[in-house]
Formats: sequence, structure tokens, C-alpha cells
Amino acid sequence: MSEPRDSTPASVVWSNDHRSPSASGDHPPDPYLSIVIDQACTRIWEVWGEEDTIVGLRVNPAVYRAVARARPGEVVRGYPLMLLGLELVPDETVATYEPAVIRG
Amino acid sequence: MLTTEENEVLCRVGPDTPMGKVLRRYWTPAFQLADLPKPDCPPIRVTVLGENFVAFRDTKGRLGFLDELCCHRGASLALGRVEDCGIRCIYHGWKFAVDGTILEMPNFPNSTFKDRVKHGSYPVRESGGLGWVYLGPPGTEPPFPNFAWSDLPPEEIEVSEMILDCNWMQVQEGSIDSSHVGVLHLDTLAVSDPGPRTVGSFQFAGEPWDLGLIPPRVSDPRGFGVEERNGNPQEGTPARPARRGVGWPSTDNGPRIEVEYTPFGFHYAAIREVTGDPTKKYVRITAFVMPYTAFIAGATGAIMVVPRDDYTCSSIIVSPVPKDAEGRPMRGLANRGIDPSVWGPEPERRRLRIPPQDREAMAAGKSFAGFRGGNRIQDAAVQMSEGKLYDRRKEHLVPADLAIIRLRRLLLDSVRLVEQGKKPLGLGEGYDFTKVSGLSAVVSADTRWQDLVPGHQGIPSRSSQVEA
Repeated sequence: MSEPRDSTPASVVWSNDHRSPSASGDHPPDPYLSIVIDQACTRIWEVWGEEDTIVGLRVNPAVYRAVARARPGEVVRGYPLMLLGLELVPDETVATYEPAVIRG
Repeated sequence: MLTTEENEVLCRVGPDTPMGKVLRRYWTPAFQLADLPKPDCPPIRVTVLGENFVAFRDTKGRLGFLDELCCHRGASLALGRVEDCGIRCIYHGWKFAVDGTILEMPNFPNSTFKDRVKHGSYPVRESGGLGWVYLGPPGTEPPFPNFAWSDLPPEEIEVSEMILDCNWMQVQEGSIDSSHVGVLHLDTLAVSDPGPRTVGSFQFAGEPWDLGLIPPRVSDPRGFGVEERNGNPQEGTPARPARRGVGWPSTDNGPRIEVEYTPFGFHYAAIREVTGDPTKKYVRITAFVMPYTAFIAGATGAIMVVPRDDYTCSSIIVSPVPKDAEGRPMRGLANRGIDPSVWGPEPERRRLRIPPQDREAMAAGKSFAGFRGGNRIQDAAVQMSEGKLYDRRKEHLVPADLAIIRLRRLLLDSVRLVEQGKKPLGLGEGYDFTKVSGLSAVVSADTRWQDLVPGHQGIPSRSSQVEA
């Protein structure tokens, strides 16, 4: 496997502090899923490059809630919440923008 | 997947929107030079990034790009008279130079107003058959991106513009995506490289159906693109088109994706197995130049997706004109096979009308997607089918979408940076844009794909750490 020169950018530290609450005001702003997914996808390809398997994704609870809010239909139907084809597992020990793969 | 907030930020391009402010920090291809062919020709109205402007060419051949509405009382300068080194509003006769200087105010002749105030005007440059404008704050213009074909004379370059009725991001994401090529474009592949192919459990015969795509014989000593036509057609059978480049030597629809940041944005490789040869791999490298331009693997030019407004965009292909075996230029190849009833190069026909899908041909196994006219029509059909502005909360991305994921990250990171008073990503300051290219190649399995595009090396565009 050829080695990418840089799989993630130097960090843009994103802060939610300045952002407005949700439109309904009932929860803080959602995390930037674009960053979570970029970080997760990069990890996935790295692990696949090691020829290992992945069975899930541990995410910060704020991320889990953001995905749930975006997919109410799936929640109602009892489907698991998933990103990049992987089931999400909420984990308070995981930083918001550092999702962790669960190896098989 | 994006949150509602992220999707709105990504897609909205007006002057007061976060993304609109980012896009205005780059040179933007706004119109075709062919639409202003000579001095004092009629002006054109240009809608770009959600605003309306007028473009004109004055008596000395200089381009002007001004706010559309006359600063007097708002009549459109697109109705104006272009004469004597300026454009004159037909309402009250105010006249403006290319730089917005008010030359005449017939209804207030002795005022100093015209000496103190200018009509809104913007830097404009001619390059690659297009008029490029800078709509950002004065004095912040970045270096102009001179691509390899930027300085070709008009007769050696061709511009083909389609106007699509959907948000620009749907089209931009499609333009850089490699993993759909072996599926959506099976009918095009059947013309350039006939033969059976598999999509999941579906077996496609892969015989040529969209015969309007069959290219003539071309050759180009400059090496921009070479293809040959082999054999003579048998009576009653279509001519077998020749292999273009490496053809499509893979049945692998699950490529490995590797993405890297570059000085201009990012590049990535879609790496596929070569059918029947485990010692080789098929590499397609796409380069994305912030924020509009993609150099697609195997193409000789580039594709630019430029938002006209939140629900309309232009998909512009710029390419060097290839030559036939006798060295004669061959224009119109980018448009071959497209039904004139759905699109044309003339300004009044550029808005694409998706043709009816040929379900009979699909059912008969003759066509996969049912849209004649090649990749551009097939792409537009699916991109516009997502709706006027796609809600990305609904999508389920997979790891093969990494290039799209990275595209969004780059754009949204740039929004954050500009909000903090910093420069957006991918300006490529000090970088030689003539080195940007796409590439399609079969190489040995241990070849580093990055070594195939050495011109992309340099200090990657990185965002500096932003303090919380």
C-alpha cells in the first residue's frame, strides 16, 4: 500500500462556543459531522490498509445524538445508527472529533 | 452526512453567506470570452454566486465586469449601449468605464459626484477561453491560477458550458467522484472499450449503444490526448472504436481511495485491481483545485463547477482542441453525441433539459442507464435528480466516498478560517498551477501513485490551528 503523505490536515480546532443554540433552543449546537466523518473515514482506510476488519465506530455521545436527530425516521423504526456503514457506539471517553474504530 | 447547519453553509453562495464569502476569495470563472467576441459588442448579463453583473468589452478591447444595475436608479446595464470606451445606461445616459469610473452624467453634468464615486466594478482577467473575476475585498486578490492550457490561443482551446438546475455542490461532488465511473458510465465505456461488465449481480453485455459518442480519429503531437481508431467496420456493423489510453482494464467497482492535501486543494487516487493481472494496478488520479476545478483522470482539460445561485450552476469543460491525423483541429468533441434538443453551445441553449430515459433499451440489455449523450448527460441526470438543493442529512456515505468527504471538509474548514479573518485553503500561493493534472494509468502494483504526478508536490494547503 502506498503511504499517503498526510492523511489528516493539521488541526483546525473547532469550537462550538461561539455558535448559536439549535433553532429550537433545546440543545447545544451539533458537532460538525463533516469533521467526524472525515476523521472516521481516514481511520477506516488506515485499518483496512493493515488488512484488519472493522465492526463498529465509537463516537462521542454528542455525535451520537446529532446523528439521531438527523435520522428520526430510522430511530422510530428501530434501525441502528450508522456512519460509513458502521454501527455507532456512544462512548463518553471518545473526544468529539476523534472517533475510534472497533476492530473485528 | 451533514447536519442541517453544515449543509446550509456548504450550499448557500450569496454575498452574505459564509460560503459566499469564501468563494469570493478565489478567482471565479464567470463567463465565456466567446460571448464577448469583439470591441463594442453587446454586453452580457452574468449571474454568479447569487449576484447579477454585466460584462462588456469596450472600444479598446478591454473587459469590464460591473454591478448590473445602474448606480443612478437601477436600470439594467445589460440593456446598455457599449460605445466610446464605456457602457451607457439607456435610461438617463450615465456612462461607465471598464473600471467603474463614471464618465458621463448627462442629467447632472457639472457635478463632482462622478469624481468621487465609482460604479461597482471588479477585477477581470481573460484565461482559457473564460472571463475570470475577483469578487472579494479589494486588495486581497490571490495569485491567478494559470493552468497548462490557460494561455493557449482561442483557436486551440474549447469551452463547453452546461447550465444545470440544481445546487453546485451536487455537481461538484459528482465531478470529483471516481467510484461511479464504472457503473453510471457503462454505456460510455461500452463505446470506448466494448465488452461485458458486472455491476454487483448484474451482467451487462457492454455492446456499443450510444453510437453518437464514437470519436473520430485524432492525434495530437503535443501529447494532450491521443487516440487511434482501428479496423474497418464490417457492413451492417458499427465501427469498433479504438481503446483510449488504457481503456477500463478493471471490473473492480470498489476501488481503494487515497487522498492527500496539496498546495491547490487535494488530489486522490482510486486504485483498482487489473483484471487478470495481480502484478498490476489501475490508478485514476483526480486533482481538485479549490474551489471549482477538477482535473479528472484521463481527461486533457478540466471541469469547473461554478454556482450561479443557490439552485443553478454551470458545469464548464475547458480542454485543448485535439487534432486529427492530418493535424487539423477537431472542435466539438466534448459535445459529441448530445442531442441538440436537450442542449447546445449557444447562450440561449446552454440550460440542459434531461432527455427521456430509454427504458426499452435498458430492458433489452442494450443500455445500462438509458441516457444518450455520454458522461455529461448521465452525470447531470443523476445530479439533478437529487433535487434543487440536496439535504445531506439523508445520505449514508461509505468509505469509498472519501474524496467527497474531504472536499466538504476543505470547503467548510475554509469557511471557518475566513470567519476568523484568515485566508481560505488552496490558494496555492507560490505554486505553479501548470503542473496540475489528472492521470489514468496501469502500473506495477508496487508503484507509488504519488510519483506519477510529481508536479503536485509542495507545501500542502493546511489550515493553521484556530484558537477556540
